[in-house]
Amino acid sequence: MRMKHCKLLTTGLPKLKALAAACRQALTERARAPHPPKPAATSKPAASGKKKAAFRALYLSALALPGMTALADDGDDDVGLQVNHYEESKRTIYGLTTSGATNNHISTSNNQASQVSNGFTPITVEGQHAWGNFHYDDRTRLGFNFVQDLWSGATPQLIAPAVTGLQFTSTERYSSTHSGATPAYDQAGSGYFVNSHDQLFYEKQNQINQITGQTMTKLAPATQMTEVLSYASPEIRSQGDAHFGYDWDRASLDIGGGVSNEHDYLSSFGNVGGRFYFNQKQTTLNYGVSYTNSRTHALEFDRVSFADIPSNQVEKTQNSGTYINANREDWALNLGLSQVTGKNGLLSAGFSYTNSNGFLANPYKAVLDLVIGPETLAGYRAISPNSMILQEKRPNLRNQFTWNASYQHYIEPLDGAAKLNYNFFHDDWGINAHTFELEYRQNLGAGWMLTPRARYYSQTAATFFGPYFLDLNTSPYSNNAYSSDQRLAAYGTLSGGAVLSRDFAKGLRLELGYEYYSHRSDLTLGGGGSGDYMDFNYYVANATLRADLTKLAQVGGVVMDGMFDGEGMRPMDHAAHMARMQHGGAIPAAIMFGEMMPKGEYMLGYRFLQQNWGNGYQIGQQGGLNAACTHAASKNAYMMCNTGMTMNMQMLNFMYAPTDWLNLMLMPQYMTMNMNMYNTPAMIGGAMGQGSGMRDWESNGGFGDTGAYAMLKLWDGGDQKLFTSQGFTAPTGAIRAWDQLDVDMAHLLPYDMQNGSGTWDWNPSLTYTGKYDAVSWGAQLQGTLRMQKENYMHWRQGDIFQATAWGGYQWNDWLTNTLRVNYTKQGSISDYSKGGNFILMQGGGMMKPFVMPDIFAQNYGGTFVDAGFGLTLSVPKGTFAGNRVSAEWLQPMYTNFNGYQLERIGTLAITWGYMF
Amino acid sequence: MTSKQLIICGIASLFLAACSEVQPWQRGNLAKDVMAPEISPAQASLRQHNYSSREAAGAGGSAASGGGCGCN
Repeated sequence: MRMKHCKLLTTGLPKLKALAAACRQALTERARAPHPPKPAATSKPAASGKKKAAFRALYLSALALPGMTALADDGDDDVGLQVNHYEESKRTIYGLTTSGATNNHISTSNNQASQVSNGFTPITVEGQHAWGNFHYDDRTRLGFNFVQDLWSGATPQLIAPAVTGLQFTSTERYSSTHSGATPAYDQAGSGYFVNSHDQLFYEKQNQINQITGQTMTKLAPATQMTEVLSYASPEIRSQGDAHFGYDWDRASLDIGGGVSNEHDYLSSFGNVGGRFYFNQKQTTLNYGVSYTNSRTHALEFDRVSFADIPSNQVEKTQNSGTYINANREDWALNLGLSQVTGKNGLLSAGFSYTNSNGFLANPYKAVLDLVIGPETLAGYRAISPNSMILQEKRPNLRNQFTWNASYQHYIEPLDGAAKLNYNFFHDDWGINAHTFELEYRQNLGAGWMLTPRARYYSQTAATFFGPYFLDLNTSPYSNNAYSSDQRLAAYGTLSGGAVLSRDFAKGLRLELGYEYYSHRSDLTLGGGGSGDYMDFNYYVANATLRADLTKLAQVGGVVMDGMFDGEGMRPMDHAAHMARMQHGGAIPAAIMFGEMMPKGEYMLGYRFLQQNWGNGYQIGQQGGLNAACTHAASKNAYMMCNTGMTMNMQMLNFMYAPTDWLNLMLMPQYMTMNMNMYNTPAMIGGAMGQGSGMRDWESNGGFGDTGAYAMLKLWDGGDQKLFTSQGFTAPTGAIRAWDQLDVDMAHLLPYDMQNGSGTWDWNPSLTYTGKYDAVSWGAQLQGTLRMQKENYMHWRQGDIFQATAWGGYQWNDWLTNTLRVNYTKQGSISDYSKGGNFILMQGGGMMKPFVMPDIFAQNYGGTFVDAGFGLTLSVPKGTFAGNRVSAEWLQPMYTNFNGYQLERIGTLAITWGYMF
Repeated sequence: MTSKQLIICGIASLFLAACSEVQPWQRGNLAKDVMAPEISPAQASLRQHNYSSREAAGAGGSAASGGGCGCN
């Protein structure tokens, strides 16, 4: 019944084609409002059944009009995955250069501020976003989001006059390079002067008479500022949130909450929002309230004074370095109204208020505090060497107000729509900001849509922003608030981009998005930007794949129950195909290449694999060694031990069956790794010393190696099958990530923290499956063989051989359990590099480290036996018929390590797939 | 007429238009894909996240988006 009107979608009646969208939304709403009142009067009598249906679709679509709100989209049931890449341009940094000349016994040295080379990798972020929205029944819906960002690169830490003599030295990359900017904080203030108007001057020219020995100094204004950058190692942010919605005929309610986690920042939030519809849904009122509680746990920067941060904002703890711990709370309220202004227009306006309190500063931002000393030179007061770099300080209260207006209009002759948006922002830190956005959506036919957009933003500076601060007192700096964070400066930004999307048959949509963003001081509205030395650009590119589960179900032949009149495309008998696919019985979730599809089918699959290692060590078969890896068995005095590691792999699986006996697969993957560490007495008593500010964790991630495979059916005996897969992985995972443990110290991440093997690998497998009634079974042999002697970093992962056998029992039409045993033999790593994996000290000095056991190639691989416990849930009927989710836990039963490694805890595998 | 008056009149006329009844069956255009509040919520949330990590006003107005920056 519910699908009846979607007949319009697929039969392709020319006049009704345009109603496709209306129809789709109508279906959702139709179901939600089971007995809608009939329209009071229709302007034309319904000439035919089809026309009648058209009017009905229009009417229903009107009921489905969405409100203009940031609330979750309460449209169709869908799942999606977005991957994105954000990259900033290199920052321009300035430093002091010196030129000299000798003339008539007078030697002159001239100091000039000019651009210096910046060897730092700019900030890059690899992000991904997975989501799902599902209706439980006609009125109740549930949704979730999972977001993960992996970011690294050089980030501005403070601003300084380019002539302050801050040294710029970098430990970027694993080899020694000397550029970029880690400031040497000593002598931050020597050689500067201020005049009576507090303008800063520096010694531009020194003339020395070589006969008399007399020195003449010329001062010049120090007007050129520069950002001082510091490098950040790869870090991961993970966010999970869920929301629950309920729809009435004339209102809706959404309740949601979630958590965002970084190593140094934990944020939890909850929200309630909803809509009210008035005036036959021509008017929508929407509202929302949210609360966020965030905890900072950040390692104190070396040589930055935190002395002045109010103790009611921060609490310090010692744990292999000094950590600052602080809390903040944010309350936000928003109200909006949207109004249908005609058959093509929609106008909306909104207001929001945010109240923030607590520690509102950024623990990694600092300011240059120049203390004015007692000495003078020709009327200029000298800056004292007591000058210092302080952590920034912000007020512990902020009130933010935003007013918003937008209008969107359907342009009938073009079948496109324009949307115009304006925001005004004001807060009590002195910032006013304007945002103008223009977006145009154009239908291009055949499922294509192009959406170009442009945006302009401008803000004034916070009252406590400054490139540096002059201080009459000695420390601590006396102001209540001070910051050199460029986000509090005055500037404008201009950005533009486009999204190109294509709707494929059966509810799949692919989107490609790109945006270029330019932050410039001279784009400030009305002029008065804070300075062009902070200018930068970024771009974001993303690809999004969305599967509309409602549409998928609609094209399924079973639910269409013979409504088709033979015109147009007849959808495939989806449920029947799923039944054929599942004929072979459930396959444990961690098994790849476990089943084949019949001719003509496509499948989209998602596979999640999490491997866990604990905090105890094991050598060979001898386990239970404690976390201190200085144990005699390790034969090395390591400076640090691992206290646990987690590796997450997410794989997308595209599968196509050109024939019954051949299936093709493409499998890109995305990884994240997290490792915790512990400083051993060898480290604490050594050169570093306790409290030296060493981080006790490392992260990395990004795209891993990409697999391409072919599956071939060798024998089909009905209930029993034998097939093989042949394929390879391409070395698309980066293997040169490094980590900065400290201002002075960086090292290449160990093999197990890199994203790939770096080599082309061959992956053959042989699989046998069988089924009798509710019982199923199978066995598989699989290998991973490295086809190159070494990767470009001169090492090679060990080969892997796996053998497994399983049995399954199907309890009913939705649940199957599996039990299996898995044998793995993996070789150790071969490292042909001369230096191996080393630590780099500031200034290029190197040191062969005894860092962690996992930097040694021989501490990899071994012989393992695991027991697997799996379950498979299939949806036998209804909207989600044919969807299948499998999960499996692999419990280590026997371990014989090569060398000295962290104990294995186990592996979790989850797979989901749908065939279309 | 000053430009300010013009703007006020313009806005007022838009709201006047709002008062004219748009019958449910006249709203087919409003329900089209191109008239959705956001063409792609995932694209919109990514953009918003990037703006809010680079601008002082970025977080204002988007209540309930949640915390965490993944930036610095």
